[in-house]
Amino acid sequence: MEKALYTTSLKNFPKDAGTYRRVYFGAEFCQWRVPTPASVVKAYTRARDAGLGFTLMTPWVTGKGLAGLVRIFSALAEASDGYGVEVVVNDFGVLSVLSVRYTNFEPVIGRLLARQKRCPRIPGIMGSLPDAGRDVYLHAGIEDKVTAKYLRGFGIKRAELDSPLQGVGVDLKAAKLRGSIYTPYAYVTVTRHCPASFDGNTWQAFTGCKLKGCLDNVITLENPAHENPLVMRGNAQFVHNPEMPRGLSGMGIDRVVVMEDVP
Amino acid sequence: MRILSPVDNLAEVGALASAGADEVYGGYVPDAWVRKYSILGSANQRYFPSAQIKGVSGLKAIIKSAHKSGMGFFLTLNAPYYTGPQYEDLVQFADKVSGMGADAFIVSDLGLILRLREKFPHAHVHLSTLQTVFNSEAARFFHRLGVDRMVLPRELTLSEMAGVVKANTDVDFDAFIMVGKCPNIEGFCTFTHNSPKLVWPCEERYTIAPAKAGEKMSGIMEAQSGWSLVNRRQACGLCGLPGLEEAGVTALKLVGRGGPAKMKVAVISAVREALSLMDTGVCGIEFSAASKDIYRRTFGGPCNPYVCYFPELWG
Repeated sequence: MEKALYTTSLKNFPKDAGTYRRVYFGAEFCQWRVPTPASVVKAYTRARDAGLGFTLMTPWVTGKGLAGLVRIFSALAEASDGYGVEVVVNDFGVLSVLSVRYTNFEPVIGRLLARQKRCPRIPGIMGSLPDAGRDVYLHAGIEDKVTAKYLRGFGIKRAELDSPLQGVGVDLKAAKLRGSIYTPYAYVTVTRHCPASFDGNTWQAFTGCKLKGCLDNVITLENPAHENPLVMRGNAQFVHNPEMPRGLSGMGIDRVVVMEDVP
Repeated sequence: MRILSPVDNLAEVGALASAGADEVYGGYVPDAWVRKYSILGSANQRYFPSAQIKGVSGLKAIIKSAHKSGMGFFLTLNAPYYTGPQYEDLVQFADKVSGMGADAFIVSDLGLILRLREKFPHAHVHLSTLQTVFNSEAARFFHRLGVDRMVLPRELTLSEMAGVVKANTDVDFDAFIMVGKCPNIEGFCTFTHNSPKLVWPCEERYTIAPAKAGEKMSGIMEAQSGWSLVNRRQACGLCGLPGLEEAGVTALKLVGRGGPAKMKVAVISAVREALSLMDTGVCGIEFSAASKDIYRRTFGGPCNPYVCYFPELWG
């Protein structure tokens, strides 16, 4: 099982690779948090020099955000020749661009597109469901063979999954995909109404967030209907779940992505 | 711009048409499906019975009545994803509904889109907001799959919508105009909407606190807690109508499956009134003021930033 470190900042880049074999760097949830092309190249270079694989994370993007990603892809392609660089996509527009213009990168289906149910209310309803209904909550959209076959045409060979509270029961092997699983924070939801960008009148995140330090603040949201509280950083909410499902290899999962902090 | 309204039963079809709806959409889950997967494994993104058309005869009658009133009928099959056995059931179901004369399927899941294209190459497939089209390349991705109409996410500004629409002139686009506004991005949200009281996780009241004791972040906590203080089912984008028309949006979509017929009629009438004002040349600040007045009359109170579809117009 390959172990990868998830980091959104060069500051937290590992000085010593330790047991990690790969670094995930970038932003999954907000186009205003995407690092500069220079930072991405620096992160790639550090990873390469440390003998680590490099995976660039990208978020969903508007037209403006997509143009920003293209600048990053161009800089990274020049620095790396593309080979050996993975790009996690959370937007089918980004996947389209990669498949046409940056074919040396290896695109990976991100957590936002892999389609799992992750709500912290789910453990409370699993017992009331028939077997086939429970299956819906244990599986993921990306393991559908027809979907996976289509996406393989875009170069997709890997998908990113979470470990939600109700468990995981996927079969990526049948879909001819490999999987990564993230721990210990499972993504739940994301917004453009980022509370860190609210200026008392409206949300700056709609037009171009100028706020610095939005990631410095982490809040918890507790409700009796949820088994675990939600944890919110910036514009995304997560649930903390250090439990990993058993039988990862049998599901086709060969990589664990470790988040040392709320992403 | 056309008006696309939800429909839940035969009795309301005539009223929706009279109020000014041009097209209707609704959801139906066969009884056998509910027995097998439960309503929490719904074939569409509604997990409570009142949002589903009752019985196959009810569905057939609604399609017939909608057509008689000159309206198209679109069936929602927009669960975020399905399992293997569900696809088999869905393809059979889609075949049956096509035979009843449904004009399109509103779909989110890539696997279902691919299967519908293969099995029913002439069927119209519309993209649900449970999928995400935030840029023109994403729209092209789905158009290549044969999707000929897409609803734009609520989280795009008017100029961003215009960018997507103008770059994809062979696709029709819908924009949400009234009723529901999710705090989160619907196509990426994994909350379950299963509360018997129909209060969803995004509108619950939470105890919000800094993750680390002693930290102060009152602004962020206040902004987030605001969602539980407003009725997000009274959302509105009427002030953005001129911008939507300028962008080239085809249809204005109303939310509210499972809601009372009276409310569906009220919001159709509100949109019709605003469109009529536009047709008479009312524009700018005057149009915004008139829109706010329509909102107040429809929902019984003033609008606020949390229920505004276009934050860039707020203020």
